[in-house]
Amino acid sequence: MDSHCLSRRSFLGLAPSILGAAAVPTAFFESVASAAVAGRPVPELVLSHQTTGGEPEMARKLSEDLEKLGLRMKLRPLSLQAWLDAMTQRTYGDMTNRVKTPLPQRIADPESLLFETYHSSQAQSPRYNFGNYKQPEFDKWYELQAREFDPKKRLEYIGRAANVIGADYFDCFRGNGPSVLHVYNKDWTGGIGTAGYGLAGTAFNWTWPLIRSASGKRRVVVGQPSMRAHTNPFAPDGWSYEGQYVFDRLATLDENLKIIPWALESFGSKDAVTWDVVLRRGMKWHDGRPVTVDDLKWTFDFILAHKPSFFSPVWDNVASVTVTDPARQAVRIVCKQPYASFPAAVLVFTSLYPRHVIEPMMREQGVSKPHELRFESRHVVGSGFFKLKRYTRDVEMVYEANKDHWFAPKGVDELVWKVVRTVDAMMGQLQNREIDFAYMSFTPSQVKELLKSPYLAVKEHPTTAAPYYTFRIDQLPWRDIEFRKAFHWSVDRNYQVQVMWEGAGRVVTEDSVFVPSHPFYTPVETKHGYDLQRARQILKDAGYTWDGSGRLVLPVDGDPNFRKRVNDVVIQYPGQKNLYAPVL
Amino acid sequence: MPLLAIERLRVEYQTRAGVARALDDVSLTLGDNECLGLVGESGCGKSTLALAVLRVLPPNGRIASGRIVLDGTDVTVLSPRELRRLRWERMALVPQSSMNALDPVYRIGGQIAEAIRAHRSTPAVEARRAAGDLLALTEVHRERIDHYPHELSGGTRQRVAIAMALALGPALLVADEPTTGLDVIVQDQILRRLRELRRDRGMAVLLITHDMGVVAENCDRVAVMYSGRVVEQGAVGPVFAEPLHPYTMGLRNAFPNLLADAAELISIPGSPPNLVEPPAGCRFADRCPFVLERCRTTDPPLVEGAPGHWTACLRWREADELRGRARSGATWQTA
Amino acid sequence: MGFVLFMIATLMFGMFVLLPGDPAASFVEEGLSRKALERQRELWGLDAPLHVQYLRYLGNVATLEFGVSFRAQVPVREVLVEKFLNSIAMMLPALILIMVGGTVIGAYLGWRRGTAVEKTAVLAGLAVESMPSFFAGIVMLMLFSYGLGWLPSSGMGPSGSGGSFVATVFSSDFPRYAALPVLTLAVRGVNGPMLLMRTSMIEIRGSDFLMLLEAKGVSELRIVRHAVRNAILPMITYFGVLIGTLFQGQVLLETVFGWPGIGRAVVDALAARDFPVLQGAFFFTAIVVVGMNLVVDVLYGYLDPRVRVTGDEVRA
Repeated sequence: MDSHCLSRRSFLGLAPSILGAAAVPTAFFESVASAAVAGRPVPELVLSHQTTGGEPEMARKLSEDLEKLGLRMKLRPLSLQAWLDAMTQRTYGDMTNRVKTPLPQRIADPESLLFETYHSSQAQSPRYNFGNYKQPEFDKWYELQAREFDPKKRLEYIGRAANVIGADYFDCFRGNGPSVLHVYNKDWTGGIGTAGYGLAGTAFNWTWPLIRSASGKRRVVVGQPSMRAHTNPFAPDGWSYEGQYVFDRLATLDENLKIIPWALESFGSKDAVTWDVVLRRGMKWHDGRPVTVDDLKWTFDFILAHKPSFFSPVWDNVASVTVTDPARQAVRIVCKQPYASFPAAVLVFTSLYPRHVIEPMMREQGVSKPHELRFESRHVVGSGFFKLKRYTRDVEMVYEANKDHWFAPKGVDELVWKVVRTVDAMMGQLQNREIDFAYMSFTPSQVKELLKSPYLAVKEHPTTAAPYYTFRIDQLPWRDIEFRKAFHWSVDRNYQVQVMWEGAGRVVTEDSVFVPSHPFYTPVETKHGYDLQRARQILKDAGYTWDGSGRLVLPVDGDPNFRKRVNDVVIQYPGQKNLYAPVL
Repeated sequence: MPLLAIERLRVEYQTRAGVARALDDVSLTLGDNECLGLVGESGCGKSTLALAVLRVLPPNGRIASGRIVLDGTDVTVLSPRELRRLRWERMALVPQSSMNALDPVYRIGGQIAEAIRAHRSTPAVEARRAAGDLLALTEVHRERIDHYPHELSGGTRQRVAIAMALALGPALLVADEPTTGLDVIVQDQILRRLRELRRDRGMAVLLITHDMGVVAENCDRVAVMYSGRVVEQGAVGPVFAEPLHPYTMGLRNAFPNLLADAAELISIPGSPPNLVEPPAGCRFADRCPFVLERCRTTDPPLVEGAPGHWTACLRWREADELRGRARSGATWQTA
Repeated sequence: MGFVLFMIATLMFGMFVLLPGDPAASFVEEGLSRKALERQRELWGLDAPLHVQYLRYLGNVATLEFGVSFRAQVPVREVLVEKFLNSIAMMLPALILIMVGGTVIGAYLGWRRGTAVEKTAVLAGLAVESMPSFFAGIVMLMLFSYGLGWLPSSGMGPSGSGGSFVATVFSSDFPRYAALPVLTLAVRGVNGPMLLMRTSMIEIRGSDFLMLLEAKGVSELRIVRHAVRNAILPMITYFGVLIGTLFQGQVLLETVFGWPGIGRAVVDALAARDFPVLQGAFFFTAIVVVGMNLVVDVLYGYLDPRVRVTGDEVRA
């Protein structure tokens, strides 16, 4: 029985309970991968890929290169929804493309990048370890870093974990890009962008409180392709991270993505499970009331009590919250288990909410869950440096500077986020000066076109996103590390950067989850490049042969090295070992 | 001077097959208070004549030559503006089928009043009252004034059409098959009323019909048309009693009740010739039981066979003998 | 009519069951735990058995309450009413222009059949209509907004001025913002009714009653009025169809001109698998279409006395 059948069973078991997935995706019925057998030619390899972002071109290029190694490829373009389904159900065949993008809220938290996609506990469909990667060595370093409070040591463990993935030749990274190219009206100066989010981002962006207009304008208009359909900060689709201008975060990230206290004077850990935080003094809600330590405590209690789904995973680890010193506005949080990511995952994640607004709302609207609350503009009362002035769904969001804030915007009285749906419209409106900034990354050729306008300028920031190919490491031929290594030497990363991204990106020579602009980046020792000659040699040395028609043939069953590589050494699947026995 | 004088009128239609001459050298006169019947088979051009008199020929039709003189004015050369003034004031039309001739989405009262208001600055209320009066005149209930054409029976619609034609008291009424398709009793009522109105108002009527009986009862004079030409005309009595043209004799057979001795009903075999390329000679030649060789080469002129009784037949002198033979069905079958 | 709506509602439910994709998956950010996903599905009632979901759904249909939008977190009514109104604000002026323009131009062309003007107009109409709407929209933008700078390129009003629907539509800025989308719609849409009216007019032109009107010595203008009044009847049916599209919105134009209308809202809802909004929008559209058929029938009866049913008629 191959893994294909396994996923079918798990899928059927899932189906009746899911309305959305009750329909059988067509992709499912296709024979997605035929089992590879030792001593036989490698079967046709199926690559499921998205149809956007140049993926089809990349897939074609890869297909051409692998053919030179004697491999046959089948390309399967999928819509976003079909692709998501194929990944969660593991019906994508041999390989699929993916982009590793850290969640904005969790960019300073290595957890989310490592855990979801590499930890052995996540290797089961429908979890997000799509390659079904199970590596005890990785798990060990991952768990060590999670309990490590010394930043230096933690960074080292994270580096070790990243190196394990690199050395295993898992997840073949294709580049670091495309760069974030934000075009804006030169009239505005003083903006500071951040890696990954650029100059005009909505999360962790320092531009809006800092910019000034040379011509004395006090209102800045920012175009963005889409907008949240509501203003409820408790809803799971995260208005909260855009709303940080309104609802002060307890901690936030500076322009280098380092964690700094924000609504707190300070935070620190007493021991592995105890965190002490002190509320900033002199803060006021938008309605003029003072922000008190009671609000801080209430915010924690409220989230603990309701655990809006957006927050629930990290809050499950919190045991208690107490006010230790009302005069100093100090609060202590005790965790159940040591959790090194606490500042990143809890403090950066958490905004201050006004008890005197939210509690009456819950009562008046008669709802028990905060995500069901209806937030009219008047309900959006925070303490942040912008007040929400007006919200028109799918049209615009208008913010007004909060002059009472300690970080009050100096050069802007009004910030308008306007929905501009298409690239053409975004470019036209920039040139027209209907918008001052565009929260949209342009391609280099678009930038060239835009810069013909004397009013516009461009600012480049590195991205935190990294596209890669992931594959079914639990099935042949991918189980063989030598095959994976040869694959890594067959991916033209220069093509990705130079052709697909028009040069706006970085060529990578290592498989690192953390791109260099990420605060947790550590170099990975295993390097590779693009060299088909070398790939061929690797396969040859590993016992692969080519048949009369030039097709790549797997090493024979009796090859002890092959057997060892595939069954014993790197990846262990306790309890599943028999599943793979018939292969050899 | 007669009220209406039609002189050598030629009307042509542009058709896909070529130019069809619907009226060819037609001359007619109509005096004040006179009723002239115009009979003939369908397609003989009698309706075209009606349309030509009012100059409302369809777009593909035109008056090629000839004159239509009404009250001494040649209608054929009038500007649209002058024509518009003349229409309905001096001459009105009772159309062939009042089902199609009334606008289906307007109330009948409005349609009558419209005719009045197009020519006179009558206030709407008065025009409406006048319309009611006209309806009453043609024996239609006043309350029907707000009905739509489809709500009325065929006879009533025809009365409405007559009422409308009378709106401005015209000197000439062109009635194109005014009772065709109605049952005999209704037909009689309408024609009786028309007769009375003609008498009371001193109108001249050009009554177009294919029914010889209708002509016999209503008209002073009659013109028989065949294939775009007048083949016989004269006072009703002589024409019906002693027709000079074989076509009239044939037509008479189709209306046995016209004859005192109630002979059998005999129809004329064959059909009228093509108007695009009419045959030389007499156009009736192909269907005529008395045809001679010269009939096919010589176009017979209209001659006065008896005082006021004109015919276009080369054998008109033998009419008495031919009439006798024409009463027998066998004669027509051999043709 | 009730049965028709019930069938539509049931079909729609079936459609949503067959629609691939999990709403929760597109709502909860990727990277969050499975638990978050399941919690979300539970909150939305997606964990209930199908028949329970169906009964709940029928209840919604009966009360015209489609629950809370997954995406917008407010009652569906609130999302849709706003979007429908926005669409209507764009479509209604266009609809009026299309119907009035189409009728007038079509009547003129029909009456003046065979002239050079008529032939040119028919060709031009076809050429404009065969242009894809987004292309026509972009051409208009390039010309009047980005090029000449006469008109703003998108939205229903200046950015930052947003307010209630009424305030937006009755502001003095609105006509300038509506001009381009309305014109684009109207220019492209006018061809259909124009051709229909022209054909209808040509048919009517040979009618006996027009001949009689001429014989009556009525002015040409009045004759044309009679002709138009008769020729306009098929336009009513067209009007009914057109108004149906009004409630479906114009996705492409709404996108090109940044107009927050119903078409875009439905596409967004579809992408987010926002079932309550989709169900509400589709059902409302169904009601409008069925309702419009009724209105068209009534209107037809009003304009054409021949199909009017009166007590009188029944007695006769």
